[in-house]
Amino acid sequence: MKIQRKFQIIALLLLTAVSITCILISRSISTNIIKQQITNNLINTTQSRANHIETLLSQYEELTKTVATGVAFRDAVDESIDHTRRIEKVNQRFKNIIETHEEISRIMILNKEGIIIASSHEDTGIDKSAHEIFLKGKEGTFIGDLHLSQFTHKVVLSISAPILLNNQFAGVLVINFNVNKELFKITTDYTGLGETGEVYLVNKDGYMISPSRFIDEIFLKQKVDLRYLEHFEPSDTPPKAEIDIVKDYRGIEVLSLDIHLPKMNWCLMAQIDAKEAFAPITQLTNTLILVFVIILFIVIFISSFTSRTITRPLRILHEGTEEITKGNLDYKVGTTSPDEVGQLSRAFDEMTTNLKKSRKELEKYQEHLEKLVKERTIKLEEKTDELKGANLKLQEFDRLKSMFIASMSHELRTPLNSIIGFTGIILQGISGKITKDQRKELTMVKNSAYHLLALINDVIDVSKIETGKVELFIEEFNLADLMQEVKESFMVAANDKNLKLSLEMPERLIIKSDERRTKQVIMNLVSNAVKFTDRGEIEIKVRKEDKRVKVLVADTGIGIKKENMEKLFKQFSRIYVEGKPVTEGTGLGLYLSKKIVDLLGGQIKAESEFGKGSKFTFTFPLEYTEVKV
Amino acid sequence: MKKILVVEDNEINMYLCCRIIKSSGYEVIEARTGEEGVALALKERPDLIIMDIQLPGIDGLEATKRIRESEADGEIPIIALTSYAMAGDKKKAISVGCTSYIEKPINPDTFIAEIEKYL
Repeated sequence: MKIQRKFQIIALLLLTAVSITCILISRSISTNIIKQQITNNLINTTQSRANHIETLLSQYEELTKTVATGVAFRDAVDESIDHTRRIEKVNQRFKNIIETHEEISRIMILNKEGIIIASSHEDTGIDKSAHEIFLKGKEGTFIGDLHLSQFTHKVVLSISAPILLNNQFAGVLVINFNVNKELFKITTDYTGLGETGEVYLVNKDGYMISPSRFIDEIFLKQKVDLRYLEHFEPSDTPPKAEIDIVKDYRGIEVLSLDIHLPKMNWCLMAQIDAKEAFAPITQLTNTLILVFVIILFIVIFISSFTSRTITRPLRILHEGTEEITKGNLDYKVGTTSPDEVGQLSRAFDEMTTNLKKSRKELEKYQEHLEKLVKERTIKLEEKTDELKGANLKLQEFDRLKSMFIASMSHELRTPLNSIIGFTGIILQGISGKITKDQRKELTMVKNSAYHLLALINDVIDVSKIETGKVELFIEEFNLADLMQEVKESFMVAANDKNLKLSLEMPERLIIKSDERRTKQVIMNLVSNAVKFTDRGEIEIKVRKEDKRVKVLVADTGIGIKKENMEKLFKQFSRIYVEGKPVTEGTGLGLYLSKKIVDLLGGQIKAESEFGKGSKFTFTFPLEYTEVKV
Repeated sequence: MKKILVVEDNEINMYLCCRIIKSSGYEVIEARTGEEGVALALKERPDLIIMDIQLPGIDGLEATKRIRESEADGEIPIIALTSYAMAGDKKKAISVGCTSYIEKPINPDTFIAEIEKYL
């Protein structure tokens, strides 16, 4: 999400929360104030009406009391006076009173037995002795409850008062008041009660006894909630005027107030529709919502404007980074704003400059490096060419060497062969008799020729092995036969030196290896032993050990000095032995043997004690497996 | 007198062989190439053949093979003259039909004894 959007949302949420809180608080306060006002208004209005009613009733009571003391009424119950005269007189009085008091609808007088003796209407003679109006009127002024008149079928208020004759109870005066004239005018005056407010009276049984604003013909027909009846219970402290929100007799939610009128045990109910009463609150709420919406719009506008102002440099910076990412290091964000974003932008520009500088340096290094690499490559190529040339030369040299060896093997040997052959012929006497001296000298020639042949053969072998040109001929053969041949070929030499030559080995030992090379090694070892031993014996032992063969050649000869042991298997490392002609041997024997043993996958080892003898051990596998040397 | 065919290209060796063989009282037939050796072997039917392995043209191995193949009588002993440098020559010689071999150089002390084993 973009910062701008985030900022807007945060600002929006914040301001909305604040606004809603303000609105709720102000609404709550306002509602309380309004409620208080409504309550006060209602209470005042109702209370004044209640007072009015009480006053009116007191006036009526007073009037009745006053009228009852009038001469005409006292006369009316005076039985000593002529009946006709007194009635006539009182009727006249009735007429006058009704004419002057429009609120009075009827007047009648009851005698002390409770029988109507005079009336403004034609109903004399009716017995009212059981009526409350009579019974209570006997005692004092009595206001009877509202009731329907028998004659007029109108709601009337009857008030009775005793008529005294010489301070003696003589009868009861009953005056019926037309409630419509004054009393109901108070209750049906809806001034200050708005469109739906009304005031009505409820008697102690819970029935409505004054007109409703909404329903006709209500008198004693509409019962209101019994809840209000509790107010009729006598109590010392009058209940506090309290406003409740209830459903009225029409089933509409109203604000309701009731005031007890103790005089009549009535209840004056004042009610106003909640809808109307709370109209100001609803209006206030609506206004507040409107204000809230307006604030919201302003906030959105301001926040988007502000956030744009804040995010604009960030956006510019972002564009800058993208531009630089594309590789345009000359790009400058160039923000001048003094805030953090501005600082960041400037730092960024600085960084870009540094980056450019580093890149230039890097490019320079790279160029240098490339140049170096190029130079080196050229040199390397030159070297490679040189090496190639050298290699070719080497190959050529190698070829020449091989050719040389091949020619050596043939060309050198051929004349040697004839030297050996003809010397032999002459020595045998085939070409005629020779002298003793000639024989001795020819023998020396023959021996030298053999020595030279051995030397040539060894040199060829060494060079073959060293150039890896040696070919092995692996096949099965009986080592016992080979050993026997070796022994036999040295028997003469050993006998000549008076040496004992013993061979100890299994009768048959089939191995798979290069027979000629194996023989070469063993021959070499035995030859050395014979050569360097003047007395004693030479022991040859062959043993099969697991998958290897061990050939041991031990002599009782001159032995080898410790310091010479190391040189033993090195080429041309001839060890000077006192009293031995250096012409014997090639100096390649043990070196070659070692090489051959390596080729065959075996080991050769020498132990010696100077002056006492030497022991050479040659071990190799029963079955040859190719080895890398 | 028993006839011995010597197939050898080297004059000195040939001379040497002849001297030794003749001094022991045998007749020598000389052949200088492999082909000549094969032809003389079949024609003269010698009692023994000394066959040098390294020969110009067909070598001693090939010549031996031809003698053994073309001739019904395979009884003539053929002794190969092998060179020390040519490893495996001995085995090859035996495998193509040589009776035995003698390694060069020829030692006059033992040469006749070797030959006479097969006469």
